[in-house]
Amino acid sequence: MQSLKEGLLNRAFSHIYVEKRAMEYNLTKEILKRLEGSKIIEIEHYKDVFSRANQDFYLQKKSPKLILAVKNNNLIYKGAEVCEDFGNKHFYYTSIMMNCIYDCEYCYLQGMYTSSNIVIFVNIDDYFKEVEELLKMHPVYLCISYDTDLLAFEGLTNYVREFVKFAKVNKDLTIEIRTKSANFSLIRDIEPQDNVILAWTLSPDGVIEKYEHRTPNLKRRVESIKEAVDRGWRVRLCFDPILYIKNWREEYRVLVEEVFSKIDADKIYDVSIGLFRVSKDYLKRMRRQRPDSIVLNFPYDSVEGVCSYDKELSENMIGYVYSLVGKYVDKKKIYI
Amino acid sequence: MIYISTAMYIEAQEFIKKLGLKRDNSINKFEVFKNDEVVLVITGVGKVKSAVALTYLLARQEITPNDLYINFGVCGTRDRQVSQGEVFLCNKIMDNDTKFTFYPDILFKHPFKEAGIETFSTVVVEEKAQEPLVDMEASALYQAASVFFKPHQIFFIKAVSDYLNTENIDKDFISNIIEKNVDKVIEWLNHIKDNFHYGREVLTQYEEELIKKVSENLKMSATMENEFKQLIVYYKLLDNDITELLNTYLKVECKSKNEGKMHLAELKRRIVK
Repeated sequence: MQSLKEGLLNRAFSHIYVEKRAMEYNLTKEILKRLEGSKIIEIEHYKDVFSRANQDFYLQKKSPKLILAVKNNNLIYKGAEVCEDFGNKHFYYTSIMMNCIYDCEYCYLQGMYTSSNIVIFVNIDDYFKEVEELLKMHPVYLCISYDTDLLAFEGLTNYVREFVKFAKVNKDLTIEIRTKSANFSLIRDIEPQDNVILAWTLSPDGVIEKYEHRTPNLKRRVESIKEAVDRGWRVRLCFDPILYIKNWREEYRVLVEEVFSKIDADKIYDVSIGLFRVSKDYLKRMRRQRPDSIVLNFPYDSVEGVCSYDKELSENMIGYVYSLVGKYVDKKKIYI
Repeated sequence: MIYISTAMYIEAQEFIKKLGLKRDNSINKFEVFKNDEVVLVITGVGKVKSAVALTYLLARQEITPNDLYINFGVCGTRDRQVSQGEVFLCNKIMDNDTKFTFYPDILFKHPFKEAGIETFSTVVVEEKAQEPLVDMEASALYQAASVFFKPHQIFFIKAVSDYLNTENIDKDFISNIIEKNVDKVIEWLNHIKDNFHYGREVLTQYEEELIKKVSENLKMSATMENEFKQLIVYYKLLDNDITELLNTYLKVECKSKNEGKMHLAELKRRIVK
């Protein structure tokens, strides 16, 4: 198996690739100032670096580089079928950042992107303009932290703060910010908004330790959630993806009991429960990136191009976690 | 294995001497020198010659994830602040003709300065380059190397010989620059070679062969064999003894694919319980 001696690889963000046109943006200047000491390489287009052929996603994760870019078109996407829309008719998502500092073994981004380097699009105002255009037509439900973890990056970008400010003056917009981070302290001073949902992904400590590399442990996530809830934020708990692991019943029972022993279930906005599921093509690429991953090598069933656990196991797992959560949370607030 | 290319013999001679490389007489189209761990090719000067020579060499090899490719040689610079003899690892390569850019992944720590390099088709005498360093091979070599290597396995290490005024450069001067820097390059390469082992295959060759045999015995189709292999990989990752399991199936002889399918389903039930 592999051996990479400590100190062999460069630190994270040892190199920052900056599009020429991104140079003039304030956020670029701030990030470069904050990461003084990183080598700056000027590029024409982020895809020249991000979309190169034959990159090693797994190794790049161990020494990720930062790419600062400007995105012009297609800033907001229609929500994908495999994503829970929580009953929202006009469901959209945006990827103002691509990739994440965390390294979850089951993450679909390994199958979606050819690189694990992190791209930050610095032209946030253009994103706001595109959302404003949509808002002229109908209310918008927008997930802003799907292909990244925005709160984990808050120290560098302030993007959560900016989006909350934007939501404050656009009441027809509802924003979901999904995260595994314990960075609530960075937005503690912001006034919570009814149209902003902070959505925390929760997993048993066994899963976090084995498969969610570099993420905060459960205790730290729960502390962040508790503080957010107590300050009046709308908080969504996501028991998603549920993984078939050794003693999964016991692991998820302990998780749910632990979470609701610390957090007042009545103050939770809603709960989402979902199994590991990923497109067949992505899974193929993910297995190639991580041939030694237990979670990726499980013999999943493939139905209409989506891989997940077989019907019987799926019903078993979802039903079990649903019944656990249902002890604490009104079932109308639980989405499967 | 470490693959090295230089444009000229003068850039290679110190590597040949210090690494004890011997001429590979089985190759007569290009000068190739090797030992058990290093293969060096002298490509000739210019984009086409260098890309052809490197491709010729690499196409005859079985490149693995542990292998590295290094282009080493002298280059010019338009930056008078840079001292002659200073060594750079190139983090950006631009082709002057097409303006295409290429970016090796700088994942490994290294002791060199970094800069971009621009590759020209002819000798550059005017200070017209956009990148700080200038050569005549890098962009072509990168494209050739990237057919065989991932971007983090490719390195361009260049020693500055001139300020785009090559008429004053003699062989002794270049030898001197190379001699001064070659130890540092070799030491760094050895450090990576000793500490970077990137084999991530789960199954041994023997286990792969057993799977093949079982697949034949059970009359499996290619899809069934893949599914079977996937199950075995998963079973092994769970710390189980797969040899014992495979040996059980080696004793089974199916008469039809359908019979094989039943065994496959039974195995899945057994593994995912």
